[in-house]
Amino acid sequence: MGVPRKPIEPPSPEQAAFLEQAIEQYGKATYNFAYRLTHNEADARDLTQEAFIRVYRAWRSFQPGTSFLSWVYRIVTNLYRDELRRKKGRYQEEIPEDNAPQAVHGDRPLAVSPIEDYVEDQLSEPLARSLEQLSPEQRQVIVLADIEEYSYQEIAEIMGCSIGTVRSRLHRARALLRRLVQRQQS
Amino acid sequence: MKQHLKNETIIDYLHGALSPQEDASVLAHIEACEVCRAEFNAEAALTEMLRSYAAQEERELPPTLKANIWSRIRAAQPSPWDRIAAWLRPAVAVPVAAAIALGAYFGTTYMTPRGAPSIEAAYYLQDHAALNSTIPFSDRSSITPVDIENGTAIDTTQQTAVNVEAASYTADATQ
Repeated sequence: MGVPRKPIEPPSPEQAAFLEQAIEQYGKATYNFAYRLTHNEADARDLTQEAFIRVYRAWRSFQPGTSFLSWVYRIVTNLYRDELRRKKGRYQEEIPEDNAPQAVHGDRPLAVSPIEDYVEDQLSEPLARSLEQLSPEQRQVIVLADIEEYSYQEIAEIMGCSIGTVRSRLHRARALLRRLVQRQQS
Repeated sequence: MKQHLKNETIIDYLHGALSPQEDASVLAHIEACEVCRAEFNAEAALTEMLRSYAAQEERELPPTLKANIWSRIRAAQPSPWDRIAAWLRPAVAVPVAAAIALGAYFGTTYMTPRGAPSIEAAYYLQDHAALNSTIPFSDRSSITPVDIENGTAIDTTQQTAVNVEAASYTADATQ
Protein backbone atom coordinates (compact mmCIF):
# COMPACT_ATOMS: atom_id res chain seq x y z
CA MET A 1 0.00 0.00 0.00
CA GLY A 2 1.27 3.42 -0.81
CA VAL A 3 -0.42 4.93 2.18
CA PRO A 4 1.76 7.00 4.47
CA ARG A 5 1.65 5.77 8.03
CA LYS A 6 2.93 9.00 9.43
CA PRO A 7 0.98 10.22 12.40
CA ILE A 8 -1.55 12.85 11.64
CA GLU A 9 -0.86 16.08 13.40
CA PRO A 10 -3.92 17.98 14.46
CA PRO A 11 -3.54 21.08 12.31
CA SER A 12 -5.32 23.23 14.81
CA PRO A 13 -7.39 22.82 17.91
CA GLU A 14 -10.42 22.77 15.71
CA GLN A 15 -12.19 19.46 15.58
CA ALA A 16 -13.50 20.08 12.08
CA ALA A 17 -10.06 20.73 10.68
CA PHE A 18 -8.79 17.52 12.27
CA LEU A 19 -11.53 15.50 10.65
CA GLU A 20 -11.04 17.16 7.28
CA GLN A 21 -7.37 16.28 7.29
CA ALA A 22 -8.03 12.75 8.53
CA ILE A 23 -10.46 12.05 5.70
CA GLU A 24 -8.22 13.68 3.16
CA GLN A 25 -5.15 11.68 4.13
CA TYR A 26 -6.58 8.38 5.31
CA GLY A 27 -10.11 8.17 3.94
CA LYS A 28 -9.20 6.08 0.93
CA ALA A 29 -7.02 3.66 2.91
CA THR A 30 -9.75 3.27 5.52
CA TYR A 31 -12.38 2.67 2.89
CA ASN A 32 -10.23 0.04 1.17
CA PHE A 33 -9.52 -1.65 4.47
CA ALA A 34 -13.24 -1.76 5.21
CA TYR A 35 -13.90 -3.08 1.73
CA ARG A 36 -11.36 -5.88 2.14
CA LEU A 37 -13.03 -6.93 5.35
CA THR A 38 -16.58 -6.82 4.06
CA HIS A 39 -16.08 -7.25 0.32
CA ASN A 40 -19.13 -5.11 -0.09
CA GLU A 41 -19.12 -1.46 -1.15
CA ALA A 42 -22.22 -0.44 0.76
CA ASP A 43 -20.98 -1.99 3.99
CA ALA A 44 -17.51 -0.55 3.44
CA ARG A 45 -19.06 2.90 2.99
CA ASP A 46 -21.10 2.55 6.17
CA LEU A 47 -18.12 1.31 8.15
CA THR A 48 -15.92 4.14 6.91
CA GLN A 49 -18.53 6.78 7.67
CA GLU A 50 -19.11 5.45 11.15
CA ALA A 51 -15.37 5.17 11.79
CA PHE A 52 -14.79 8.83 10.90
CA ILE A 53 -17.70 9.93 13.01
CA ARG A 54 -16.00 8.13 15.91
CA VAL A 55 -12.77 9.87 14.97
CA TYR A 56 -14.57 13.20 15.09
CA ARG A 57 -16.06 12.48 18.49
CA ALA A 58 -12.90 11.08 20.01
CA TRP A 59 -10.39 13.28 18.27
CA ARG A 60 -8.88 14.46 21.55
CA SER A 61 -8.06 10.90 22.51
CA PHE A 62 -5.76 10.52 19.51
CA GLN A 63 -2.17 10.81 20.65
CA PRO A 64 0.04 12.74 18.25
CA GLY A 65 3.10 10.71 17.44
CA THR A 66 1.18 7.46 17.16
CA SER A 67 -0.11 5.97 13.94
CA PHE A 68 -3.42 7.48 12.95
CA LEU A 69 -4.06 4.68 10.49
CA SER A 70 -3.64 2.02 13.17
CA TRP A 71 -6.07 3.96 15.31
CA VAL A 72 -8.71 4.22 12.62
CA TYR A 73 -8.21 0.58 11.60
CA ARG A 74 -8.83 -0.42 15.19
CA ILE A 75 -12.06 1.57 15.12
CA VAL A 76 -13.09 -0.11 11.86
CA THR A 77 -12.24 -3.53 13.27
CA ASN A 78 -14.35 -2.96 16.36
CA LEU A 79 -17.24 -1.59 14.35
CA TYR A 80 -17.11 -4.55 12.00
CA ARG A 81 -17.10 -6.98 14.89
CA ASP A 82 -20.04 -5.19 16.51
CA GLU A 83 -21.90 -5.23 13.22
CA LEU A 84 -21.39 -8.95 12.83
CA ARG A 85 -22.59 -9.57 16.35
CA ARG A 86 -25.60 -7.36 15.86
CA LYS A 87 -26.61 -8.96 12.60
CA LYS A 88 -25.86 -12.52 13.49
CA GLY A 89 -26.36 -12.66 17.19
CA ARG A 90 -23.21 -14.66 17.40
CA TYR A 91 -19.69 -14.31 16.21
CA GLN A 92 -17.22 -17.00 15.36
CA GLU A 93 -14.36 -16.09 17.62
CA GLU A 94 -11.98 -18.82 16.70
CA ILE A 95 -11.16 -20.82 13.68
CA PRO A 96 -12.14 -24.48 13.96
CA GLU A 97 -9.24 -26.50 15.23
CA ASP A 98 -9.25 -28.84 12.28
CA ASN A 99 -9.06 -25.94 9.85
CA ALA A 100 -11.65 -27.72 7.80
CA PRO A 101 -12.31 -25.82 4.61
CA GLN A 102 -15.85 -24.69 4.34
CA ALA A 103 -18.08 -25.42 1.41
CA VAL A 104 -16.95 -23.50 -1.62
CA HIS A 105 -20.15 -23.50 -3.59
CA GLY A 106 -22.58 -24.70 -0.98
CA ASP A 107 -23.98 -22.83 1.97
CA ARG A 108 -21.87 -19.95 3.03
CA PRO A 109 -20.09 -20.41 6.30
CA LEU A 110 -21.88 -18.80 9.18
CA ALA A 111 -19.17 -16.32 10.02
CA VAL A 112 -18.75 -15.08 6.47
CA SER A 113 -22.31 -14.57 5.40
CA PRO A 114 -23.55 -11.80 7.72
CA ILE A 115 -23.09 -8.60 5.78
CA GLU A 116 -22.14 -9.95 2.44
CA ASP A 117 -24.76 -9.77 -0.19
CA TYR A 118 -22.47 -9.10 -3.07
CA VAL A 119 -22.94 -10.64 -6.45
CA GLU A 120 -21.34 -14.02 -6.60
CA ASP A 121 -20.00 -13.78 -10.11
CA GLN A 122 -17.92 -10.73 -9.26
CA LEU A 123 -15.59 -13.07 -7.45
CA SER A 124 -14.18 -14.73 -10.45
CA GLU A 125 -10.61 -15.12 -9.27
CA PRO A 126 -9.69 -18.17 -7.23
CA LEU A 127 -8.15 -15.98 -4.59
CA ALA A 128 -11.28 -13.89 -4.22
CA ARG A 129 -13.41 -16.98 -3.89
CA SER A 130 -10.99 -18.42 -1.38
CA LEU A 131 -10.89 -15.27 0.70
CA GLU A 132 -14.64 -15.41 0.84
CA GLN A 133 -14.42 -18.75 2.59
CA LEU A 134 -12.36 -17.40 5.44
CA SER A 135 -13.90 -16.23 8.68
CA PRO A 136 -13.88 -12.45 9.31
CA GLU A 137 -10.98 -12.76 11.72
CA GLN A 138 -8.97 -14.92 9.34
CA ARG A 139 -9.53 -12.44 6.54
CA GLN A 140 -8.72 -9.56 8.82
CA VAL A 141 -5.39 -10.94 9.96
CA ILE A 142 -4.37 -11.72 6.39
CA VAL A 143 -5.33 -8.25 5.19
CA LEU A 144 -3.38 -6.62 7.99
CA ALA A 145 -0.30 -8.85 7.76
CA ASP A 146 0.03 -9.46 4.04
CA ILE A 147 -1.65 -6.52 2.34
CA GLU A 148 -1.25 -3.71 4.85
CA GLU A 149 2.09 -5.14 6.01
CA TYR A 150 1.64 -4.48 9.67
CA SER A 151 3.85 -6.18 12.22
CA TYR A 152 2.41 -8.79 14.58
CA GLN A 153 2.63 -6.24 17.39
CA GLU A 154 0.63 -3.66 15.41
CA ILE A 155 -1.94 -6.25 14.38
CA ALA A 156 -2.34 -7.31 18.00
CA GLU A 157 -3.06 -3.70 18.94
CA ILE A 158 -5.53 -3.23 16.10
CA MET A 159 -7.37 -6.49 16.73
CA GLY A 160 -7.18 -6.23 20.50
CA CYS A 161 -5.51 -9.57 21.10
CA SER A 162 -2.10 -10.97 21.98
CA ILE A 163 0.81 -11.41 19.57
CA GLY A 164 0.54 -15.16 20.08
CA THR A 165 -3.07 -15.07 18.97
CA VAL A 166 -2.12 -13.06 15.89
CA ARG A 167 0.59 -15.54 15.06
CA SER A 168 -1.62 -18.61 15.41
CA ARG A 169 -4.50 -16.98 13.53
CA LEU A 170 -2.23 -16.00 10.69
CA HIS A 171 -0.71 -19.47 10.44
CA ARG A 172 -4.10 -21.13 10.34
CA ALA A 173 -5.59 -18.59 7.98
CA ARG A 174 -2.76 -18.91 5.50
CA ALA A 175 -2.77 -22.69 5.65
CA LEU A 176 -6.49 -22.69 4.94
CA LEU A 177 -6.16 -20.10 2.20
CA ARG A 178 -3.47 -22.08 0.44
CA ARG A 179 -5.61 -25.18 0.45
CA LEU A 180 -8.63 -23.27 -0.82
CA VAL A 181 -6.67 -21.61 -3.61
CA GLN A 182 -5.22 -24.94 -4.68
CA ARG A 183 -8.68 -26.43 -4.71
CA GLN A 184 -9.99 -23.52 -6.79
CA GLN A 185 -7.15 -23.85 -9.26
CA SER A 186 -7.38 -27.61 -9.67
CA MET B 1 20.60 -32.43 6.94
CA LYS B 2 18.79 -30.90 9.85
CA GLN B 3 15.04 -31.13 10.27
CA HIS B 4 12.94 -29.17 7.84
CA LEU B 5 11.55 -25.86 8.95
CA LYS B 6 8.04 -25.69 10.27
CA ASN B 7 5.56 -23.91 8.07
CA GLU B 8 4.86 -21.51 10.95
CA THR B 9 8.53 -20.55 11.11
CA ILE B 10 8.57 -19.84 7.39
CA ILE B 11 5.49 -17.63 7.71
CA ASP B 12 7.04 -15.75 10.64
CA TYR B 13 10.24 -15.35 8.62
CA LEU B 14 8.27 -14.02 5.68
CA HIS B 15 6.64 -11.43 7.93
CA GLY B 16 9.86 -10.41 9.63
CA ALA B 17 8.65 -11.65 12.98
CA LEU B 18 11.75 -13.61 14.02
CA SER B 19 14.68 -12.47 16.10
CA PRO B 20 17.86 -11.56 14.16
CA GLN B 21 19.49 -14.85 15.15
CA GLU B 22 16.47 -16.93 14.12
CA ASP B 23 16.14 -14.92 10.95
CA ALA B 24 19.74 -15.61 9.94
CA SER B 25 19.39 -19.28 10.79
CA VAL B 26 16.21 -19.65 8.70
CA LEU B 27 17.77 -17.84 5.79
CA ALA B 28 20.77 -20.15 5.85
CA HIS B 29 18.50 -23.18 6.02
CA ILE B 30 16.33 -22.04 3.12
CA GLU B 31 19.39 -21.48 0.98
CA ALA B 32 20.65 -24.97 1.72
CA CYS B 33 17.41 -26.98 1.80
CA GLU B 34 15.45 -27.45 -1.39
CA VAL B 35 12.28 -28.64 0.34
CA CYS B 36 12.14 -25.65 2.66
CA ARG B 37 12.99 -23.30 -0.19
CA ALA B 38 10.04 -24.64 -2.15
CA GLU B 39 7.82 -24.15 0.87
CA PHE B 40 9.10 -20.62 1.34
CA ASN B 41 8.50 -19.84 -2.34
CA ALA B 42 4.94 -21.10 -2.08
CA GLU B 43 4.26 -18.89 0.93
CA ALA B 44 5.90 -15.90 -0.73
CA ALA B 45 3.82 -16.50 -3.86
CA LEU B 46 0.64 -16.45 -1.79
CA THR B 47 1.62 -13.10 -0.29
CA GLU B 48 2.42 -11.71 -3.72
CA MET B 49 -0.90 -12.93 -5.02
CA LEU B 50 -2.70 -11.23 -2.13
CA ARG B 51 -0.94 -7.93 -2.74
CA SER B 52 -1.56 -7.88 -6.46
CA TYR B 53 -5.20 -8.80 -5.87
CA ALA B 54 -5.52 -5.98 -3.35
CA ALA B 55 -3.96 -3.54 -5.83
CA GLN B 56 -6.42 -4.64 -8.52
CA GLU B 57 -9.32 -4.28 -6.15
CA GLU B 58 -8.28 -0.91 -4.80
CA ARG B 59 -11.10 1.58 -4.81
CA GLU B 60 -11.32 5.31 -4.73
CA LEU B 61 -13.08 6.97 -1.86
CA PRO B 62 -16.70 7.47 -2.89
CA PRO B 63 -17.11 11.19 -3.64
CA THR B 64 -20.21 11.53 -1.48
CA LEU B 65 -18.67 9.87 1.54
CA LYS B 66 -17.16 12.98 3.07
CA ALA B 67 -20.35 14.95 2.62
CA ASN B 68 -22.31 12.10 4.21
CA ILE B 69 -20.03 12.08 7.22
CA TRP B 70 -20.52 15.80 7.74
CA SER B 71 -24.26 15.62 7.28
CA ARG B 72 -24.50 12.82 9.83
CA ILE B 73 -22.39 14.81 12.27
CA ARG B 74 -24.57 17.87 11.80
CA ALA B 75 -27.69 15.76 12.19
CA ALA B 76 -26.35 14.40 15.46
CA GLN B 77 -25.61 17.87 16.81
CA PRO B 78 -28.14 19.42 19.19
CA SER B 79 -30.71 21.88 17.86
CA PRO B 80 -30.66 25.58 18.97
CA TRP B 81 -33.42 24.83 21.47
CA ASP B 82 -31.41 21.93 22.89
CA ARG B 83 -28.45 24.24 23.30
CA ILE B 84 -30.57 26.83 25.13
CA ALA B 85 -32.10 24.14 27.32
CA ALA B 86 -28.66 22.75 28.07
CA TRP B 87 -27.43 26.23 28.95
CA LEU B 88 -30.44 26.92 31.14
CA ARG B 89 -30.34 23.56 32.82
CA PRO B 90 -27.76 24.46 35.48
CA ALA B 91 -29.22 27.94 35.90
CA VAL B 92 -32.61 26.44 36.71
CA ALA B 93 -31.65 23.15 38.24
CA VAL B 94 -29.26 24.52 40.87
CA PRO B 95 -31.70 27.01 42.50
CA VAL B 96 -34.52 24.47 42.35
CA ALA B 97 -32.37 21.83 44.00
CA ALA B 98 -31.28 24.32 46.66
CA ALA B 99 -34.91 25.32 47.32
CA ILE B 100 -35.94 21.68 47.66
CA ALA B 101 -33.06 20.99 50.05
CA LEU B 102 -33.90 24.04 52.19
CA GLY B 103 -37.58 23.18 52.17
CA ALA B 104 -36.84 19.64 53.25
CA TYR B 105 -34.58 20.85 56.06
CA PHE B 106 -36.95 23.46 57.49
CA GLY B 107 -39.95 21.26 56.91
CA THR B 108 -38.55 18.44 59.00
CA THR B 109 -37.30 20.82 61.69
CA TYR B 110 -40.37 22.98 62.27
CA MET B 111 -43.30 21.13 60.79
CA THR B 112 -42.96 17.90 62.71
CA PRO B 113 -45.72 17.67 65.42
CA ARG B 114 -44.27 17.85 68.90
CA GLY B 115 -45.37 16.38 72.24
CA ALA B 116 -46.02 12.92 71.02
CA PRO B 117 -43.50 10.88 72.91
CA SER B 118 -42.96 7.44 71.74
CA ILE B 119 -44.10 4.66 74.01
CA GLU B 120 -41.30 2.43 75.00
CA ALA B 121 -41.53 -0.72 77.06
CA ALA B 122 -38.99 0.49 79.65
CA TYR B 123 -40.84 3.75 80.15
CA TYR B 124 -44.12 1.88 80.59
CA LEU B 125 -42.66 -0.45 83.24
CA GLN B 126 -40.93 2.36 85.12
CA ASP B 127 -44.14 4.32 85.13
CA HIS B 128 -46.04 1.46 86.69
CA ALA B 129 -43.30 0.72 89.19
CA ALA B 130 -43.40 4.35 90.27
CA LEU B 131 -47.16 4.27 90.66
CA ASN B 132 -47.05 1.11 92.73
CA SER B 133 -44.34 2.44 95.01
CA THR B 134 -46.37 5.57 95.79
CA ILE B 135 -49.45 3.76 97.06
CA PRO B 136 -49.91 4.99 100.62
CA PHE B 137 -49.32 2.60 103.53
CA SER B 138 -48.11 -0.13 101.32
CA ASP B 139 -44.62 -1.18 100.38
CA ARG B 140 -45.77 -3.68 97.81
CA SER B 141 -48.16 -3.74 94.95
CA SER B 142 -51.83 -3.69 95.71
CA ILE B 143 -52.34 -6.10 92.87
CA THR B 144 -52.64 -9.61 94.15
CA PRO B 145 -50.46 -12.03 92.20
CA VAL B 146 -52.40 -14.76 90.47
CA ASP B 147 -51.28 -18.27 89.73
CA ILE B 148 -51.93 -18.29 86.02
CA GLU B 149 -52.11 -22.03 85.68
CA ASN B 150 -54.59 -22.55 88.51
CA GLY B 151 -56.30 -19.18 88.41
CA THR B 152 -55.94 -18.79 92.19
CA ALA B 153 -54.46 -16.02 94.23
CA ILE B 154 -50.92 -16.56 95.45
CA ASP B 155 -50.24 -16.24 99.14
CA THR B 156 -47.55 -13.55 99.07
CA THR B 157 -46.51 -14.08 102.70
CA GLN B 158 -45.75 -17.71 101.90
CA GLN B 159 -43.86 -16.68 98.78
CA THR B 160 -41.82 -14.19 100.79
CA ALA B 161 -40.85 -16.94 103.23
CA VAL B 162 -39.75 -19.15 100.36
CA ASN B 163 -37.69 -16.28 98.94
CA VAL B 164 -36.01 -15.65 102.30
CA GLU B 165 -35.22 -19.34 102.64
CA ALA B 166 -33.76 -19.42 99.14
CA ALA B 167 -31.66 -16.33 99.89
CA SER B 168 -30.19 -17.86 103.06
CA TYR B 169 -29.42 -21.09 101.18
CA THR B 170 -27.55 -19.10 98.56
CA ALA B 171 -25.59 -17.25 101.26
CA ASP B 172 -24.58 -20.57 102.88
CA ALA B 173 -23.49 -21.95 99.58
CA THR B 174 -21.21 -18.99 98.88
CA GLN B 175 -19.57 -19.32 102.28
